[in-house]
Amino acid sequence: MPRDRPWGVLLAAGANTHQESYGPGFAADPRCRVAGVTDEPGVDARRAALNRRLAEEMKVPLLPDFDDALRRPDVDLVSICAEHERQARIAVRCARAGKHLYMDKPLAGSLAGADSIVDAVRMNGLRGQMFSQINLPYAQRAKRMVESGQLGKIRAIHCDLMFAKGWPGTAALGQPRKESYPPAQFLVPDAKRELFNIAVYSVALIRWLMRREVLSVRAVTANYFFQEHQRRGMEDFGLMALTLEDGVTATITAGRIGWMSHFGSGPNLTRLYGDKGSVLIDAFRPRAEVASGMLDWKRPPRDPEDPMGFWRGTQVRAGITPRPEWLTLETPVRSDQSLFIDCLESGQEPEVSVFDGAKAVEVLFAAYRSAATGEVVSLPLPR
Amino acid sequence: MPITPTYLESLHRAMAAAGIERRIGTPVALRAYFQLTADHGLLLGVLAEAAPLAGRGFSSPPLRVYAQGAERDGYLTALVEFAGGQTAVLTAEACRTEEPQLLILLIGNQGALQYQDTPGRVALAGGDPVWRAAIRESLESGRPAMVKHAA
Repeated sequence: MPRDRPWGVLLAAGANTHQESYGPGFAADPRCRVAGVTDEPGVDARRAALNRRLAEEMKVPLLPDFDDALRRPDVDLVSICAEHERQARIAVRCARAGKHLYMDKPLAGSLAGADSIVDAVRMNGLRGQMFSQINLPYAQRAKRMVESGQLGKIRAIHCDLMFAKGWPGTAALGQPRKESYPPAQFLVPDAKRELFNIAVYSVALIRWLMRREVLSVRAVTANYFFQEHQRRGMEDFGLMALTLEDGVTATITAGRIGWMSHFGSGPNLTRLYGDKGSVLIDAFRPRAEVASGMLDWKRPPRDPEDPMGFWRGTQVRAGITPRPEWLTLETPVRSDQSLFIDCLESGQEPEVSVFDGAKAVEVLFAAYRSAATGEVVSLPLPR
Repeated sequence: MPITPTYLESLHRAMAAAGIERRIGTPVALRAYFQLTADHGLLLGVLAEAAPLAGRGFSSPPLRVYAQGAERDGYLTALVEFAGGQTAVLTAEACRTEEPQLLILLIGNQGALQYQDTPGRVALAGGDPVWRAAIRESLESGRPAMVKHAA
């Protein structure tokens, strides 16, 4: 039945988060109306200013009273992009207020937090989706290959996903990183835990493609590129080897490897090996390769608020466009935000739900435990 | 009489001669996919040949290896750690309808190199016996194995 009003979207946390992409993504869907930007009470002055900045940029109200914002009848869902340590607390409050959840990735900064989000969504009869890359052309191609049966039974899947951002060459090299478990902090203005931040896409993709649970994880974390990450005790690179149900094996490499390390946004390879065939999917193929004196691309200047270039807004303000040497002509058919609205309208469970997000968090925590101990870690992890 | 280098040895020498470090900085990580033989019995040898070459490229002795896969089903992967902190993920798969090919992604601390080739039929050396033993041990135990006294 057609709705008599648009889906009201509340944005929890603003600029210098992925809300800079998700908020406009919802606003671009004609079925949605963004009600405003809000956050928990008591956020620090920096976060408050960044929330105000996104509200101003999107020309939507800043709603400083979180509970008032959640009581609004014109709000149906909340897009939550807070620091990972705050995600679960905010999400549970939103779910208790009867709001559907659109969650940044990874879902939460702890196993208990991730579990609490899943429970809150289920107990309140809501839908919850975690942002992923399954709408991107490379993921859709992989899905078609798996479902076509051309490759037969898939025995192994490999995902290599790296982001070509940041100013590399400053990390001290020469010895293995010493990992600690459990990880406690995931994001500061100049560093992120990149296995957590990037491998989550691959974990979600593997579970989505294979429809199997991860049974064990072996992982290694490293500091190869950035002194900022090293100083904060956060890895900038990581490897994972997974065993899934039915004997399927998988590997993941993930990291932030620096501006200029790739002509696209970073290496993105998916290898599927089946008992009848195999395929390598490069997210940057097919592509046109352009060499021209008309092209010029420079790294963005260091922004003191976002020195690694984590956030879309930093690049927009610096006038940075994608590198011009490669032209990939495929674009996502639908945004991830629109896929969530599709689910709300159809009543279907999202393809990467908060349950899937919680599973991904568990796999990532197993990876940190493995990296800390040097051993293979079995799932589920003890609670 | 000089021994003819294998395809992987030749590739390693060519990359070293090309001055990789001047282009990508210090090599820190390697991701490689090898489909060089249709014989699944040679896959472990491909990994055992590639892993010590990676160590030479990193100028670092090996630490341990974790291997997965099934030789009889035509696929093996090794996650390799080196003493200097470098890492490699090496995958060897049996060629079926595809012609022999490989893809190498070498990550330096200031850049990256991607190399793809379809070399046709290639000679394989069978790999370093110490590496073969370590990879075999990991496959059989399901746990990481230390690589001892590797060449």
